[in-house]
This record gives sequence, structure tokens and C-alpha cells, in this order.
Amino acid sequence: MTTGNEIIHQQHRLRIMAALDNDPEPLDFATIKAISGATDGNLGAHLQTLEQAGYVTITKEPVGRRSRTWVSLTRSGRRALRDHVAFLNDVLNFGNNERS
Amino acid sequence: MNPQQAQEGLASVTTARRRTIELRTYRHGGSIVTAWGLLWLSGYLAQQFVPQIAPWVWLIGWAAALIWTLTRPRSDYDLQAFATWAVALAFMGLLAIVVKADIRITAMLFGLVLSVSYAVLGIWAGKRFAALAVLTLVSSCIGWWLVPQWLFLALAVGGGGTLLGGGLWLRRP
Repeated sequence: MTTGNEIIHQQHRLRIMAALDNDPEPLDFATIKAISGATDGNLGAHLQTLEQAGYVTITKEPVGRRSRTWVSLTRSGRRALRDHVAFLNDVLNFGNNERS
Repeated sequence: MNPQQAQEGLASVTTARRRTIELRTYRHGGSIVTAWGLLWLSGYLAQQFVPQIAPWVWLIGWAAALIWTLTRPRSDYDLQAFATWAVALAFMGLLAIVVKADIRITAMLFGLVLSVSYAVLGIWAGKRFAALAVLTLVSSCIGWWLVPQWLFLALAVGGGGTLLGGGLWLRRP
């Protein structure tokens, strides 16, 4: 059984990672916010945590006076998410087998 | 971690993936819906106020909207969307021939078929398309029953306006 990933398992971060894994293009801040359900401040903190872990890369694109934030999944982020999803499936299957 | 927490985690993953596909479909569909809204608006405005040049407006508009649609980046729902429109247009064309429809009935049929097509896309590709279906249906019905002398204007403002505004709305997350 693979081990669970404490960084990814937090609900908002798990949604962020799943969203990024499912889209071949980088996602902008507003789209990730809509998918994860996090507030602006929380989302910034979650993205920073994921970036520090090396799971996402964050780039800022200037748009007029403001900037647009783009986020994409790194190779190790993709692998970490797949491992964590496998772990969740293992936990679920193990629990189901124990009950039956 | 217990099985319930694992199940909640997997449910979060599924929800996020479904929502990502939905938003991507909106993002890709937004500019296409806007283009067809522009066609509706200009075509029916011409039909209402300068009917002698309306066929040219429709012809050029259809060509421009088709070229715009076919040159957009592909998305997951392209095939389903094209198939839905092709079936809807073929159905509408045959129906118009069978009932020997005049220009007003054809316009109304087009409004109804457009509404049904968006409703189908609303069921399969995302709820926002269903909202467009309701608005185009309501505007078509208002034009047909309440202001029949201004049917084309109702279709232009109601249907075309809905698609123009809807296209911009679809592009927002």
C-alpha cells in the first residue's frame, strides 16, 4: 500500500491538484478558485504550500495594470496525486474487505 | 485515515475533475456562442428592418460564424456539440419543408430548435447552456405570441442578445 500525502489530502489542495491534473493547459487563479471553493486568501496560501512542495508552478502574466496568475502541475505533482489517489482507493478497498 | 475519509477524498477528486471539464467546455464554447449570437442579432435585425438585404446578411453571417467555429481549438465536447447542431438543423430544415413554412414560421422553428439544442447541451455539457435555452425559448415565445409584428426584432434582441451575453458569461469561471 502506498502512503497518504498530508500536503495533498487537505480538501482544497486535493481539488486544486485534481483540477490541474485534468486540464492539459495551465489554469488561472479565478478558475481554480471556482473549482476548489477556496477564498482568495486561502487559495493563495494553498498554492504557496503546493509550490513549496514542488507540486505546482505559478507564473504571473501582466494584464494592463494587474497581473493574471497561471498555475500548472509539475511532473512530481502529477505523480504525487496519482500515488495519493491510489492510497485512497487502497484505504477504501481495505475497509470494504474488512466489513465483508 | 479511515475509509470514510478516503471516500470523501475520492469524491473531492471526482467533483473537481467534473467541474474542470465543465469550465473548460464553457471556456471553449464562449467565443463560439458569441459568434452565433452576433449572426442572430444581425440576421434578424436585417430581417425586421431591411428584409431586402437579409439573405446576404444571413449568408455572410453563416459563413463567418462557421469559419470562426471550425478554427477554434478543439475541446472534449466538440463532436457531441456538432452532432447535436447537425441533427437539430436537419430536423428543422425537414420540418420547414413538410409544413411548407413561410419565413416567420421558419424563424420561430429555428428559435425553438436552438432552444432544444441548448437544453440538450445543458443536460450533457453544463447547466449554463440550459439557462441559454430558457432565455432563447422565452424570447421566441414572446415574439410569436405577444408581439408578432416584431417577431424578428424579438428574436434578434432576445435570442441574439442572449447568445452574445451568454458567450461572455460562459467565458467566466
